[in-house]
Amino acid sequence: MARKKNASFVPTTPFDVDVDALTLKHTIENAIGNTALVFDMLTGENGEANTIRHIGSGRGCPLGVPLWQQTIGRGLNYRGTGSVKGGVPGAVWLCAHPFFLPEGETIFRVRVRASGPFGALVPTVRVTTTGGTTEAGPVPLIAADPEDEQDAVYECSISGLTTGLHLVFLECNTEGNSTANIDLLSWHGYFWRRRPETSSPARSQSSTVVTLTTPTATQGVAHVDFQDTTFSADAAIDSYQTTYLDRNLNGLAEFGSGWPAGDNATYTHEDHDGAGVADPTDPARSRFHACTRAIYANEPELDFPWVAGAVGAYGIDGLPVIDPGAVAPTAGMLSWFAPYPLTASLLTMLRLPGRAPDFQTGASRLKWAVLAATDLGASATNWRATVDLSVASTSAFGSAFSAGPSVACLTLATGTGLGGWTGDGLHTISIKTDKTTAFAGSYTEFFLLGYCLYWEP
Amino acid sequence: MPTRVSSGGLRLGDTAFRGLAPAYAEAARSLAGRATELYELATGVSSATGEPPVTPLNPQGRVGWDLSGPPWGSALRHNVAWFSGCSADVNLIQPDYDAQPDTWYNKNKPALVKLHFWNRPFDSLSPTAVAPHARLYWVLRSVRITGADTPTATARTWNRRFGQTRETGQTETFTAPASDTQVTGITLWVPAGPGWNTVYLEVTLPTTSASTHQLTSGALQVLSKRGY
Repeated sequence: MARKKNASFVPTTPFDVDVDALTLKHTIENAIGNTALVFDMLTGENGEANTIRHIGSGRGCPLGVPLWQQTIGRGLNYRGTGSVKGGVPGAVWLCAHPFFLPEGETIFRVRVRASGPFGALVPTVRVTTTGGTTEAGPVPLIAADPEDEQDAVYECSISGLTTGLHLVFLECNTEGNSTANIDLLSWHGYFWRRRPETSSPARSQSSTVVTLTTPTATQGVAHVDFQDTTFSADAAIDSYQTTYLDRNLNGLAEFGSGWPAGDNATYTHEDHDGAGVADPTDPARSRFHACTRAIYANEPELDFPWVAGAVGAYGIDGLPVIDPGAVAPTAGMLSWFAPYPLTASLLTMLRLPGRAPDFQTGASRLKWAVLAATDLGASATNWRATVDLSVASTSAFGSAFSAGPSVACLTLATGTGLGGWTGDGLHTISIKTDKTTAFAGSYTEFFLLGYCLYWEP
Repeated sequence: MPTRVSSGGLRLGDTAFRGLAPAYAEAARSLAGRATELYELATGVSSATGEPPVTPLNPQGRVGWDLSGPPWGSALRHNVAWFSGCSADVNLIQPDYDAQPDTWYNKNKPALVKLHFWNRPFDSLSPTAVAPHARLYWVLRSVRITGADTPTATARTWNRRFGQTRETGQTETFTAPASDTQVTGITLWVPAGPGWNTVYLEVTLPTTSASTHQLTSGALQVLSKRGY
């Protein structure tokens, strides 16, 4: 015997189920086979290779989670007339950081919001590989509708990229515009897709209270398999087949939609605590399609951009936009400048709250990248970046990776398998740096530019 | 004529299939049609090449579940938008708080942060339920810059998209800490709609306070997976 499953979707025509038409066995057989196919694609069970990873092309609708959404709120004003490390205002990266493009996504939009028009500053966006090769741009940002605000909004589209890690740069030439006095308010990479308001949601249109097979304490979607011998030439359709096919359909509808099946008032497959008691916050007991690997060990995992952002501006000529020293500079080109450490010891350069999805933690697919710049001829490989995800600031777990490929003054550190986080948990994302070789006494040689954390199976 | 059947919205319970139940054509149509719909919703493509899908489009205007909240899939908890992300340490040189006027606060001056952000398209739920992306929760970090006390701060938040004002938004109080600490987490929320939103966050201190504080970072996050 073999489990009844269609290798690919087999349609049933409207004529097969028309009023007065005979209900043929293959109609029920194919419905059972199609349902088994969908169950396997969602759960990864029974060796199904084409799992639903939300990467398009028949592998699920891409999620469209924004790539980065950062509110900056810092001034681009010229801070006095004092020293500028680069000598004169010039071309700068207002923002520079890594970002992760999920599989199945090919085009996204970039938005910059400022307190006033950029005017002659004319910002552009450039995307490069992690090795520094330009992949897109420089694309000029075009003034866009600020909607209900008085701020200046600029947008452009970026396309032609492949999935994976990239670097994005918001470039701007400030030469001759040293009196610009606007604030850089926010910086976004997002997918502009929105259904027309008139479309109807895919909810039940039936008043029938439907039945699902009640799962056991550890069971997921409570799917019942059928054997193909059930549909041998002389076999008849029986109520067991139709009843459990119906229940399977109702169960999968609830599993995938996250909504009670039919017009049921409550869920049947509610998350539980392992003893059948409802517990909507325990990711290890999720009964819905969320790629947790809690119930199904082969459940597909998702590409998911978590957080990414810039930390401060830096000169494209390889020099900082302020004259660095042991105190916060009071003069320089920009008040939005890349921060720098005054110690060789491990120092937290940035903290950010982060709520994690309920993905599996056992074999963490969480990756990170940190972009930095070095000055004064410092060797980037003398420095190290560490990303720490303490849970509610109570514990510390980090992994470190030495600085990677160098692009002019830029250097990138990356890491994989980042642990120390919990599914559904709130974390403090800490990005730390230290110098791995002897500190030569030279402050101000290392500047943090940006960061990115993402899940990639 | 489409080459495959949809359920026509008909969902069935056990009573339709009990041993001596009459066999209606609608029962077969529902079974075959729902299998077709599940295939499209899971895979994100039409069940017949070259033909439109039999399922409606999701909030993104695409086919299939996109995990944007019911009925398009259980939502995922994550940050939707965030601000700043600095650290407080004497060995870190970054713009001083005077250069970050939005984020520092004392008895005379509130912190006022405006978060402009893109919210994933999602479907509103019924009046009795709130969709996951329709209610976003703040988590904030704060640190003391000068002074010695740890006063009770009041955080207010409102979304101008919905006509909310400072007076009509939500509030929460917290103890402004001395060191860089997470101060809110699960109770301060703000309504949000699909697309662009403009959310304000104000933090004030009582007139009795003698210290100055700074919000070092904050994020708006999805907490509910399937609505409230």
